[in-house]
Amino acid sequence: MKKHLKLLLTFFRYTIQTSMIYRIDFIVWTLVTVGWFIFTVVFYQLIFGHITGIADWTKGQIFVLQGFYFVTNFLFWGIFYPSLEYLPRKITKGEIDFLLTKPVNTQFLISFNEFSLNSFLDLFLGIGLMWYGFRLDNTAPSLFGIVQSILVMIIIAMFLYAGYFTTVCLSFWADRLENIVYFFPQIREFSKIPQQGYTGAVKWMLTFIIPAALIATTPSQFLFGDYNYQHVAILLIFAIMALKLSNWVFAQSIKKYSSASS
Amino acid sequence: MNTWKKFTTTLKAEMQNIFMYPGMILIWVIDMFFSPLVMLLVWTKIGQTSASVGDWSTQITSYYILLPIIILLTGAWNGYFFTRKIQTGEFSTYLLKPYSHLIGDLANNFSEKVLKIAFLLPITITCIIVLDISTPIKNLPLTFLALSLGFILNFLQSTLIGYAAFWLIDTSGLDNLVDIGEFTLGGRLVPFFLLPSFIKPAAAALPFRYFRAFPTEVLAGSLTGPETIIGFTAGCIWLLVFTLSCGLLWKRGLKKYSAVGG
Repeated sequence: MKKHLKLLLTFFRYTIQTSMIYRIDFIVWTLVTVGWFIFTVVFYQLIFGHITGIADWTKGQIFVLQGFYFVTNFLFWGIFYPSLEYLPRKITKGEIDFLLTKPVNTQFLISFNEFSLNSFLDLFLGIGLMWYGFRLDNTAPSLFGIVQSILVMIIIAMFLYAGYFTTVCLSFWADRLENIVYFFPQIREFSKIPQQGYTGAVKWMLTFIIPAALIATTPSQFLFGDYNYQHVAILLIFAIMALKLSNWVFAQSIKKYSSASS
Repeated sequence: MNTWKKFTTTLKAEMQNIFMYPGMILIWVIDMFFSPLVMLLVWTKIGQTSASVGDWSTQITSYYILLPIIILLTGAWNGYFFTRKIQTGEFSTYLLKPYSHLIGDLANNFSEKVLKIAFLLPITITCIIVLDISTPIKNLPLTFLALSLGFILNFLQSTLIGYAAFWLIDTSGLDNLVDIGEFTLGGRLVPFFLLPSFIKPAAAALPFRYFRAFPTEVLAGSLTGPETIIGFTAGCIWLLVFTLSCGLLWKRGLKKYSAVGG
């Protein structure tokens, strides 16, 4: 554990150094993040000019929901994506050999060797959106609600990481599947609407088959004091299953891997 | 060898290449559906509670069902590959070829589209039949013109981003900035007819609308005669601006090019 934390710190330092080398890129990406944030605020302000709520969620609550969407942006583009982005290309070029020989868990090395510094802004903007949402409704979350919401978010992060890693592992099995890295993050699009906004088979699918509708809804509900432990149980089961599946798929994928360079 | 023969020869080579990786193409096609599908769900939900949005419900449904096919037909991604060629120095080999790199880019674009259409068209036709969306046949010649205009604008815009790599090396941030413009003012998230009246003049003056929203509106038959003429005129003005800018950036960029790794 200590070794892994030390490695994470080293990788994070490396991220800061590379971000400082490509400064224009860093500034442009920061503008992109801020641009999406401004768009989200303006978009929902305009929508709420026509309506008073979406699926019985108030304007403030919808902003809290969007805040959690930004937190998942941080998880994907800030933590998971920078390392996994080049995995398909590394497989094609046979560069996984170097990682397999290292005395550290290979899945860990593949998953967390690089971060994106400007995506950390998503985390702060997400928290800002939540704060704004509560201000609009003239309410505040309880400390108990905040702590539980953070714990739920950790479960969601586990689920998202494992699901993402498993899908990216498909590139071990199919040639040049470079765009697979953009596929799984798209399921979060469904979390932009509260789970209660879906009906019928779609609602059932997005709750029990792929719990995409719960990604932002459940932690938001905990902040509102609506402790939906049934949803947490669903997410926890999915997170554990997805983590086990990711380990198994990776083990099978490594057996399939045939170093292209040697 | 004349230009047409050079193009068809490159196209054949690209077709052989692209049919080797159908998995990658299938993922792009699924990816194209996510955002319009979620936005359709959002607007349908809003339409249920807002009369002002509800009045547009038929147009909104046809708009988002037709949007993926329009995104595909007008799409261009040559800037991404051009940037990669600059980064690796691979671009040097293109300077030695007896034809413009744009011919190769066009061939790649058309070859990918053939396979993507094979996946996307059956889904779109099924949606049109199931949702009983009216497709006015009389607009087809105009739609073809609007689609051609949209494609050329997209292709030139992507070329401009690619040429920016002569100076920036990594243009992914710039590409995403353009994406924000297109998503917000170009009809990807909010259809042009639903934009607030104070934003519409700016959105009509900027090029983003003519990439995809305008062809979709022409196909859906939601524009009046004068609106269509104004749309084509504005699109043609941007076509001229993009063409001149491409010529200028190409000339200056070549002087700046330092053949990394070449």
